[in-house]
Amino acid sequence: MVLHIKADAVSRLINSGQFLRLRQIAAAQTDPLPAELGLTIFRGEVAAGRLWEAARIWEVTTTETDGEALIKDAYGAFLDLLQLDDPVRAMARIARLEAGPDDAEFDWIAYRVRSASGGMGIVEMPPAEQLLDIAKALVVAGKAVFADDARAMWHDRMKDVDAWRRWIVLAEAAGDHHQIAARNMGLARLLYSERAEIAQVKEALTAAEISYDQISHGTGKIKVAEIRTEMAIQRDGESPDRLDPIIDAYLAAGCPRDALSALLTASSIAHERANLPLAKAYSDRLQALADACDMALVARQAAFRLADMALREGYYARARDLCDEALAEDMPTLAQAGLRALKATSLSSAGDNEGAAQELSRAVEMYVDKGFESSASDLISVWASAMVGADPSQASYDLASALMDDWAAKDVARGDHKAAATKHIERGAILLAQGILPRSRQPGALEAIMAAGEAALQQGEELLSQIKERDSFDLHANLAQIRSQLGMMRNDPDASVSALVHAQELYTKANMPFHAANSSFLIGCHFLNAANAPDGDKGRNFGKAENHLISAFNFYRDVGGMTMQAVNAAHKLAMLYLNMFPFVRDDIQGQCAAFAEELLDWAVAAIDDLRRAYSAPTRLASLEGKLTQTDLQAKLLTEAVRLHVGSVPNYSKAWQWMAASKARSLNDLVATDAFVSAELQTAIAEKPGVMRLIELERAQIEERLKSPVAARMAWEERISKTRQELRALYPPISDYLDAREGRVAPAAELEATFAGHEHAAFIDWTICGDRIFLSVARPGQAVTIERLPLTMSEVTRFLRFDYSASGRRTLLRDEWFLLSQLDHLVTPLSWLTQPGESLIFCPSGLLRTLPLHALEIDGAPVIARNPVSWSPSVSLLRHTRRHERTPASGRATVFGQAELDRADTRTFSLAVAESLGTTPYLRGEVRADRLKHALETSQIVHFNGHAVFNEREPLHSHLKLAAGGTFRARDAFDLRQVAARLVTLGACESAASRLMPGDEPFGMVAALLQAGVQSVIGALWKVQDRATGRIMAQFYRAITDPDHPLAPDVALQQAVNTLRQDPEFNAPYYWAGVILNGNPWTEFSTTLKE
Amino acid sequence: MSETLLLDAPLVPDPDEAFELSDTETTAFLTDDEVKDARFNVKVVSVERVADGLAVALKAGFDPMPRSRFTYARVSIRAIRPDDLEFVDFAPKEIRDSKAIKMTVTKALSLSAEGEGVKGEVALGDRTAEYAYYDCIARGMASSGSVRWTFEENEVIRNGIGTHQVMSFTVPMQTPFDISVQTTCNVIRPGIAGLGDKIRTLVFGHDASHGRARPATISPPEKVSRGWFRRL
Repeated sequence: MVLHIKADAVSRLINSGQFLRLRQIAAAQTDPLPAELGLTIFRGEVAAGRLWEAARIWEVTTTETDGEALIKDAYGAFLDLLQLDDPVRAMARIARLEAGPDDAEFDWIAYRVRSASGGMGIVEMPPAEQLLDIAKALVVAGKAVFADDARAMWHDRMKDVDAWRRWIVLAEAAGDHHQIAARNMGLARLLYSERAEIAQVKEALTAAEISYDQISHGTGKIKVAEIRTEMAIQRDGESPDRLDPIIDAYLAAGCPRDALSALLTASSIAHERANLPLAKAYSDRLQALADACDMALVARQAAFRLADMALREGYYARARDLCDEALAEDMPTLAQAGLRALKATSLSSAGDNEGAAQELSRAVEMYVDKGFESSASDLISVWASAMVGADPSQASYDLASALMDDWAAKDVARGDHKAAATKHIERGAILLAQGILPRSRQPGALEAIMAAGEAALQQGEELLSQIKERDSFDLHANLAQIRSQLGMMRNDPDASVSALVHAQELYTKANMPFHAANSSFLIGCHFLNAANAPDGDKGRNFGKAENHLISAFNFYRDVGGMTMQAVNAAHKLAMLYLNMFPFVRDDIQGQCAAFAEELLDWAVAAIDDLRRAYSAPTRLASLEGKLTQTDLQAKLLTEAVRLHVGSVPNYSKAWQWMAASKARSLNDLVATDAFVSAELQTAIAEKPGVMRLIELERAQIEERLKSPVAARMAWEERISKTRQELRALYPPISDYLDAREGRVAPAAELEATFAGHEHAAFIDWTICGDRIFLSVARPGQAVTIERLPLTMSEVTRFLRFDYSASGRRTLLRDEWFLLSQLDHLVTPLSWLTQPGESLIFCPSGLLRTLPLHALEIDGAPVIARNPVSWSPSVSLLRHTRRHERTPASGRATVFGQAELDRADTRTFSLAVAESLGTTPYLRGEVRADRLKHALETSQIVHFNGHAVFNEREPLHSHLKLAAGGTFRARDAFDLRQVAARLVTLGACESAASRLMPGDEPFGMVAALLQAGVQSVIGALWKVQDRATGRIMAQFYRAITDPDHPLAPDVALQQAVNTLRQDPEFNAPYYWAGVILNGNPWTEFSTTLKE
Repeated sequence: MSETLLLDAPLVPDPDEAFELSDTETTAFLTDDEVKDARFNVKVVSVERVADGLAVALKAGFDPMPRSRFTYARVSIRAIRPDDLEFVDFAPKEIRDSKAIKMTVTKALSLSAEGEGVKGEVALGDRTAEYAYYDCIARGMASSGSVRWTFEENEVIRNGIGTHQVMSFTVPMQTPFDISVQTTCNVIRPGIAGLGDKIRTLVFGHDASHGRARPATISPPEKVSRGWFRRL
């Protein structure tokens, strides 16, 4: 059916913005349309942003003459460009048509295709002057409307205000209100973009509005309102959501493209102002609308924004994945370069400067190839930063500085003084950054660095003087911020802080609240330091520090998406209150403590929320992101211990902090692995509702992993909902889910952990800054905490010098008297614990590498006095004890001497197997399937081979098997069930794990314990086989004694103490390397030797 | 002052190294026979009276087998007699660059080892009585009646730890005193083009009862001596 209407009537509808009416007309066209009408409707639909409808109309448009066919084909090229976002195809089609009949309209469409393709970097931009010739030809051809469009485009490109005004006078003379309105709008946009006086812009808008009124042009009035609103937002600091009514009005008027444009503006402004939740909401709407309109280009911009926001929120892996996802699709060079630049920032934020530099180099190359020097220029500073970040050598700094200098000269040649000034200012910052490198300590080096930095800043400042100040508040502010750094380097704190205050004022003027907040934070830190100085004016400096830090904290917290910055500010504020504590009256002290506690509790909860969003650390970036968090968590822990141990003693709270900090990383380890233990599966097998929900959760996790990155948040919400239902339906599953979700409740866990073993104590060593605290926790008793008279620097010095890999054997075997300098680490145990009491050691960080049980109390090692086991955290200990409920079964399996092992280990493996009443798998028999089967069916699995610790990917740490096979830590989670109660890793340094401050280790031991093994014996160093063989033989005999089996911790203690009596093996090197991890009281069934 | 030999002994393979549970993927071991010519010696460079104490400079000499080099060495000196013997200070504490070093001692018996800015005057490998020259990373540490140094080759240059390294310390007494000296050295015999390297850890004596730590006595000069140490 054809709704009878003439082409010129459709043109009038389009010109007056009646797109709703146009939509009805277009929708009614189902039969072939004559060329003039069809292409007019087509143009209207394109103007309305309804590309799918435009394409349909184009298809049903028929042509009779060669001229009509030519125009239709030209519009087809236009459609390629807009709908398919395929400028190459569009240009190819235009090129084919160039030889056809000469036609003004074709030239006009071809020009637009070339111009749009030029904008995408595919071809050179056609010269603006051609537009005037095209306009003249269009007038001659009787296509006045197109001629006006061509002239408008020319005016846009020329940016000549006087020319616009002359053109408006012509329209006024002709009494053409449509043109008067359109041209005044063009002038208003130009004046606004050129930052002209507000009154001039308003005048042009009013003139446009009057003319739109005259012709009842609905959309025109919305456009006027849009510019006015944008001015209010940009110049008066109003919220970007003022654009919401405009967006709604465009949608109501049937103009989705204009709505998209307004959404883009709102999203950009929210983004610039660091209002990430609002920016994200706009981006989501943008994406949905762009998808609905089939506007790939806009959709890509939305993807770009999502990635950028993920980056700003600290989700580096997600940002990188979003970029990769977008880059996987075909796209114009420009868009690709932009995404690469964003990906580079994600990589460098995650610490991969090398990867970042590579991406940036490619992006710059792409821009340069396409002649987009200004876009390339924008990336140079970031590239230079990544370059020196990846390789902080002198050569690298010289190269980076030369690169920026070179590009600044190009900027000046292009007339872009702002870009050149930016380069010199950032070059100054990069040069000054050398001040933190060791080489700056050489005589005269720092002075030279400061002089070079200052020279670069001065060059930047000179260029800035050639730019209007209101156009460069941001650069002046950056300059002031870097000058503040220079002030610090010159030991001139007053100059530094006044530069920061100046920077803050300028950022505020530039309407850059995020940067202003950063300046405020730095000023707060300056006064915090000043207050800490011995001769500082405490009252004055505390007050100033508090004001600035609170201002920054409030901004970061309230703006949303700035969690890490807010936590940083909260940490500094808590530190400030605790520093103030000794210097204020009693009543104020209470307030200080309360404020500090509130801030610390808020901050740690905020980080917990953030870390739950991270996947298990299967990728570098996610792990690096996590490391940033753990570093902050360590700082929070330090202040919390200061508060609860020092300022207002509350040992219970202090211990909660310590234990929770250790439990976190292990929870992260399994946070997203779809692993349900065999024990749990048995328990819930008879509860179909629970099983169904578990399966649903697993399916959701898999969907989450498979889904595009942008959709993962939605899946995470679904998973969270399913888990809530599970908790409600079957409360015992909560422990398992807590581990998945990274929740920790150490106090509640203590009671359950020690059930049936009351003569035991949990011993934590916690590192807070340079201090070390030892705490002793027992169920039902108050926690005791002692600060040790040994600092972490002293321990670290010992570790680096005496305990290095090269000297460790000598130390532990021939000079073990030197260990006595660490005895202070265990001294309090002599009065805080009873002889014979089962001690569970839970040391932090580097302390985990030390044989703490070999240190002496009253002249004898701890192991002589107490059975000792180790646990990465109280939560994990409890986790291992829960497995006791499953009846033990199966035999023992021994693996030994995979291909590369030394010949002597064969003897060792045979001896171990004999003590366990079994035959070992040797050489080629040591295969992954056998090891997995053993873990699923044997009570004891002894692996005597080599372990490789992967520091970057701890879950990829593995045991080396025959024929190049491996068993990775993460493979433990794929076991159908875990029957192994005890796994012995007789592999060198198998207990090695990644050491992180304030957090606990990932590695093979933790993975096995989390997967369901109750106890794991590992080695702290490459243990000596004869000595270890004797320990293990006695240990296995003791735990499998059919009449009087000993608990593993007691069995190991006895075996070690027996060996110590032998003069040949009395040095710790022989007996202290073997440690028991996890459940100290694991029991074995009598089936073991049957 | 001429240097006097304090001890000179062969080095033997560390008896436990080959019995550690590990794999052989990294590098093969040199055999006992291949390392039998490696030796270690200590010479007294200087013993000087300073205030109420002594400033002692010893020189550790590393003598690997032909076609091999030491990549790491740890030398420990433990105070034995008198019972209350303590080391007041020691040098060097940490030196990472190759440069001529002058040991300085104060009346409070504190020691420092600093570059003299004589780069042009002292060529690489040139050793004079006054200057010590470390072309490896040298670190020192003292605690629990023991002072010890480690010498590590530069990982980039890989030219070993040199043949001699100077170690100095001060004691608060001017009578003879007993020490014990112990060392651990890592030796490497390079293969061809980075392949076929063989390593071994060497020590004094196969076990503790066979002289892994060697006793020695340091005696002060009869006259007030001045010379090797710069005084402050």
